[in-house]
Amino acid sequence: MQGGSWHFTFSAMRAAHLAPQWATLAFLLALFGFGAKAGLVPLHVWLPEAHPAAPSPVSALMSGVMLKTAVYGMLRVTFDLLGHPQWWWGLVPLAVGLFSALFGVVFAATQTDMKRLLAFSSVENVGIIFTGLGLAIVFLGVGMPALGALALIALLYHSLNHAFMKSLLFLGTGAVLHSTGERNLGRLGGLIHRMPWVAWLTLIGTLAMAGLPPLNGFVSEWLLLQSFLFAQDVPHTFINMLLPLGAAVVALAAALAAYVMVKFFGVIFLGQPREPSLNRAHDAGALERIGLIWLALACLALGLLPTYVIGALRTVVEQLNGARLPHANSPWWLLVPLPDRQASYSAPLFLVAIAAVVGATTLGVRLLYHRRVRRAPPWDCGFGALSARMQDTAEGFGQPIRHIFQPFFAMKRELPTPFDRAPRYRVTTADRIWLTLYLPLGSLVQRIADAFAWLQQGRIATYLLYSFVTLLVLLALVI
Amino acid sequence: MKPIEILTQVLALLAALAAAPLFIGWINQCRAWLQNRSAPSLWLPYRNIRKLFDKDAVIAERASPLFRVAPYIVFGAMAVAAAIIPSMSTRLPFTAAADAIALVGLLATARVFLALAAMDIGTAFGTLGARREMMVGFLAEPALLMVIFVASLISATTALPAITENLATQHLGLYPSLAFTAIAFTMVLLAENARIPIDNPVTHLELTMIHEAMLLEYSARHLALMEWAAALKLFNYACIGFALFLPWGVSAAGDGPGALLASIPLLAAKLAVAGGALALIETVSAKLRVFRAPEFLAIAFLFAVLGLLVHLLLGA
Repeated sequence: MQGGSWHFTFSAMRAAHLAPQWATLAFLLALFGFGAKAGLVPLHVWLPEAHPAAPSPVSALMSGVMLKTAVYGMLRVTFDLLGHPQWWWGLVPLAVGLFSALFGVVFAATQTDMKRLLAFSSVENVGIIFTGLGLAIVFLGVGMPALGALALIALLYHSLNHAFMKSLLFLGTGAVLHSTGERNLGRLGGLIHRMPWVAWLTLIGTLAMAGLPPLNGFVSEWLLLQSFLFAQDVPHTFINMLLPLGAAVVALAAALAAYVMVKFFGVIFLGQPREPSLNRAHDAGALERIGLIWLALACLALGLLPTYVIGALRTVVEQLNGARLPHANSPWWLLVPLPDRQASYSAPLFLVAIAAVVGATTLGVRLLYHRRVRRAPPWDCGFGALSARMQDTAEGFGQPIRHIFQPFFAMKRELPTPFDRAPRYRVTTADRIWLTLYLPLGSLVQRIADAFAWLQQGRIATYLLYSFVTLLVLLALVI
Repeated sequence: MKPIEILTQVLALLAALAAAPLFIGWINQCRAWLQNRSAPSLWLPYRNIRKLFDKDAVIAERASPLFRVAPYIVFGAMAVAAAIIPSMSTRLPFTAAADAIALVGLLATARVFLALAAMDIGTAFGTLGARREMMVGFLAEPALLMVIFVASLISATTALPAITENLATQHLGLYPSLAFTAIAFTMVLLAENARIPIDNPVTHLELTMIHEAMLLEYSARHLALMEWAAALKLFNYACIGFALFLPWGVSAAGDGPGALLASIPLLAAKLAVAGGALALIETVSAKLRVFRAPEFLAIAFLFAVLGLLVHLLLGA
């Protein structure tokens, strides 16, 4: 990218004019590097190992903020340093992003460790962010700056949202971990009674992560879907046909994210405690609460006031590549992405409407039909004694996903025969990419290293001989 | 915003609230006729809801506040959804706040709260129902969005009233793409509303139920709200179907109050036909195993994609 000048300052790179094939190569290499940093599939394998290992506040920073540096770098290289991206470059991040989104969320659904689950959900969100990047490059490349700007805004908005909601969820798991000492979903449950503050604040993050209106996760997904949908004028018919299918993948990933989040919240906070020790769990302290509250408020604010956020992001996008989103003459509470299309969304009005209807219903029921409430043991179809083991475990809740997305997993099953006295059912799932790509790569490196191991003999005389021969060869080269 | 528009909006909402149980009653009656049974009264769902409201509530000991709040939220979400869908008039001021994608999001919100409430007590059936409901939900949602995408690609907007007006006025012919998506939408409707072949609304056979499994622990006014919300959901889906595939006769901007009045019997007629068709589908088909549900919904998704391809290739 320095274009032969051997100066690596940003201004030199910006000024350099690259032949198209070199620019393409630079873009792909940047995507590879930043993709590894961001955790795009198939370079994601480090992420679910690294993020859960850190203490929860650090995990929050790693997932929420540090992944975004890769997005920043990618944006900077694509739009600032390389300048004019070709439209078909966008197809690579688009495809990789969509696959990462689906892959991440499917794996998140089968996790049993709550922090690993969140780490896989980060893979999903990074996938969605890169999908937006690919879309923006395609639109800007074919000369549709308004849509390109919309896709870029969706991307930046989603990055911002993800920073807040993922941090909120990681801090929530941190509070649970601190209070119970347990990360395994199979040993949690029922914590909404013991830790109401953490539970209700985490619920906000859960709903936001599931992409439900009127919270913030929905806004960025809505913007992304809008930019997908208005793409019908792309001058390449084939791309035109593929783009709505991309929107369908985004929709599938979003719906699966809701599944994952129901599992996450339901297994940790609802139901019966799966271990007796959970009855001694304590709620978060004042400082922990403040940490959770401001993040939850940020999620709400980002969801309810999208026009202000987009106003701020608009200038960012203009500085980045001059693409301009047409100004809509709409009031502050109404979000109109492109004024010439009739599509609008108003989160505040939405919230007011739901609150009004729910309030009116509650009031009406209270005034007209307020009968007594009696507490009794759960009915459960009259099956009698209930134990905590009758609830779905984290594995059980992920089972439909394992069944439907079977090709994604490398699964090993051990099923009992009908005659087993002590039946055991065991299933282990692993990442196919880890098995087919990284392990062979690792063993290849090992074999190469083994092949060269005879060089190392442990005798000083041999090493001196090596130095002498190297010196001779160098001298021969110089002279 | 004119007062007449606000009045239309409130009227549409109240009409949906009032008519939803009647629609359920009508379907049950049609089904009983088709199956050679003597039909229950048309007003049975209303009596049922009133009876439930009149009872004392029994709540499980370890239910959290979430369990008690959920029926109100689910009901509220369904009522707001009813306010977005142009069933009688497209002049609904609230629709500016939410387009078709937001409508899908709203339905998803209701589903998530229903599933969370089902997991709250920690019974085997509750979690089973929640898991299956979320499974059907994540399969049906992309198919529903694809259906909406096709309609919005034809009309170049995602706002439901604009789609309805556009489809009603542009041509009086059938779009082939919409024919495919109509099939897809019907399948999604069956799956999302816990009808045969995915779920059986009258079953209490424990291991096969989905929707009922989630409501097992509810009683009295909470159950009444949940039942009413389920009726509203079916009503809403039917009205989404009319808005996309039978958009004629909905009073539009500029029409007088006469058009609004005329649209009421027309909506009733559409609902009557749709209810009969639904009863027919439920009579002639059998319930699928739970793990055939993904195949069923994948077919729905494929039909929606076919509709999309037909639209993009033929422009029709």
